[in-house]
Amino acid sequence: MKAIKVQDLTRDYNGLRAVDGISFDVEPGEIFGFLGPNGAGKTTTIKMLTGQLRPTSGMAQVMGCDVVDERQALKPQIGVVFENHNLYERLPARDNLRFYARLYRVKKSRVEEVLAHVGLAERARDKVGTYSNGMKQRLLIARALLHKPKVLFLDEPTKGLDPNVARDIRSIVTELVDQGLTVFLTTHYMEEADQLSDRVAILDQGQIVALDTPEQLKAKYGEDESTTLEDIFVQLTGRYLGRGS
Amino acid sequence: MNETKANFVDNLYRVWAIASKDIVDALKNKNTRTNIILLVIIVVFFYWSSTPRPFDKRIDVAIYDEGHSGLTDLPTQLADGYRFEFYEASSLQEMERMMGYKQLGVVVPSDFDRVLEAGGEPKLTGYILWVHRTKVSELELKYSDKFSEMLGQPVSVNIGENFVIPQPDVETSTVQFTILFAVFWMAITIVPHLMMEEKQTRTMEALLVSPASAGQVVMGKALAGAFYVLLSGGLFFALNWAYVTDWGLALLAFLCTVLFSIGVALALGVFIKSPQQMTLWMLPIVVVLLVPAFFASEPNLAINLKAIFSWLPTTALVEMVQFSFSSHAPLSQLLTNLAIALGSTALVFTIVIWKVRRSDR
Repeated sequence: MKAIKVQDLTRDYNGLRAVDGISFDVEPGEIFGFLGPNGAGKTTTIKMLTGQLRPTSGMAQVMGCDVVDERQALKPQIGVVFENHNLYERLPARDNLRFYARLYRVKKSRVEEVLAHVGLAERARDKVGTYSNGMKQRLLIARALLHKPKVLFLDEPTKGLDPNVARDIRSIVTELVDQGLTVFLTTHYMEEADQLSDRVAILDQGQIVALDTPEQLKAKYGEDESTTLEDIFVQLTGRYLGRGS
Repeated sequence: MNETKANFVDNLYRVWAIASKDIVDALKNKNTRTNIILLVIIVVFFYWSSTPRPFDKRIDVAIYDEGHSGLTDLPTQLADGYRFEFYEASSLQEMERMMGYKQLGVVVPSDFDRVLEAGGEPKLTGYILWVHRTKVSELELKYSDKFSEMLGQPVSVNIGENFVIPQPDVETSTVQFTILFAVFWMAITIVPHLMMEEKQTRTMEALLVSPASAGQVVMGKALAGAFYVLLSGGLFFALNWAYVTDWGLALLAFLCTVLFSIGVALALGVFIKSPQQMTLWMLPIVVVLLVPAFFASEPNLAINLKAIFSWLPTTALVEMVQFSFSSHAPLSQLLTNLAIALGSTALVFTIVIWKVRRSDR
């Protein structure tokens, strides 16, 4: 069974096509990089794959669950790390996680496990409002892992983080994949995508313009050995993104 | 069957998880704390302003003078600053009806002048509102003392069991409005804020990818709001229990008020997206729903306005509370009010459910 299976997925907003008939599969245990300039349709795709948004047409399954018809069955299979730090800032980190633990009906002891996993056990009693961006990002990952999902969606997980913290986050992601988790990653940082992803899809104006391993993409579209994924990205989308951390 | 039961328990568990998180989180919010404190002050103020206070020097008395004595012609200003204000009634029934806002009703016996001239101690029959029934001996002593001072010789005011329970159409105080205000205000300041904050901080997105559904989120917010609403209702009844003549009706009126207020609050929560919009909507809501309910029983209100106000759910709710403070509840009017209140509540909840289902992707 594919971890993610997408066929002709389309989403329109008020007559504008945000995602235009995309198709791809993600294998279990794979890190799948989903790249594209702003407005390319990355977030819309994530929202459809996580059941937040109904596709206009097409089909998508995550761990065999249809994202429209089997939404409730889908929810325990996925964890989502959102681009924004959507946490309860007045509550301590532990209470944030305990709340979600109750929604997912997982044991309290699991909260301590994930806090330790992301290195926040010492600060678990502090209000999230006092956390740095890096700590909030770790907490978001902890929240997404609370119920042991099979597929983790990471939307710009290192955006705005300093290089050391970004490296820590990447190492947590690598560790998770080693444990068998499938990761669907969107990022603006091409070096990060190159370093982490087993395969990448480049999205432009709602359509996938390239999909392969970073090495194959460089071999196919690059002019010489020094060609980077960012060069390929710019070549295919005509847009420059800026260097990653 | 077992699966259905398990799903139902899961649903309840999630609703409660959201509600309990919000109950705690709301208390940590400065705005919510301010609203709670303001509300407590307002409820206590309404109670205090509708109860005889020790520093009030004016004693309003509805008086029925059976023997046409000269009592009301005497100087009413007392040496200690107290002053009687007499309102003459032509019958005992009229006197009782006049007692809505009066502290005391007095029946002057036909032999009053004769006993007074003979140097005896005239006995006045006193009446007080049902509300003040626990203070009989204190009030007997106070009014006997004041009448004695006025007449320059001992007079006794005997209240005994003469409690006047107001007629349903007699306004006694603004207390019946307080319960609507307390519940409604608490609901519309807390529930929409809880929902708006989830949208603004985008925690709603995280909630909706969790096993919680949009409906469970809304129910959780409603339950959290209901917790604070019940607290405000509890405070109201703790202070104003003495007004209640029919506890069944009082609780029915309170329940209807809670349901309607939570419904309006949820509607605001699902439609309003920002604090600015909330501020914008607050004034029309107060003007349309609260102000008319406050003035609906005003006797000098224009008939057309009265007719319009009577169709408002908030007016119906206030009237239901008033019936529970009265001697009896006119059945047809009570049923009409109940129908208006429940119909409006059903309408508001239908709108909320429609919006939630529509916004659920």
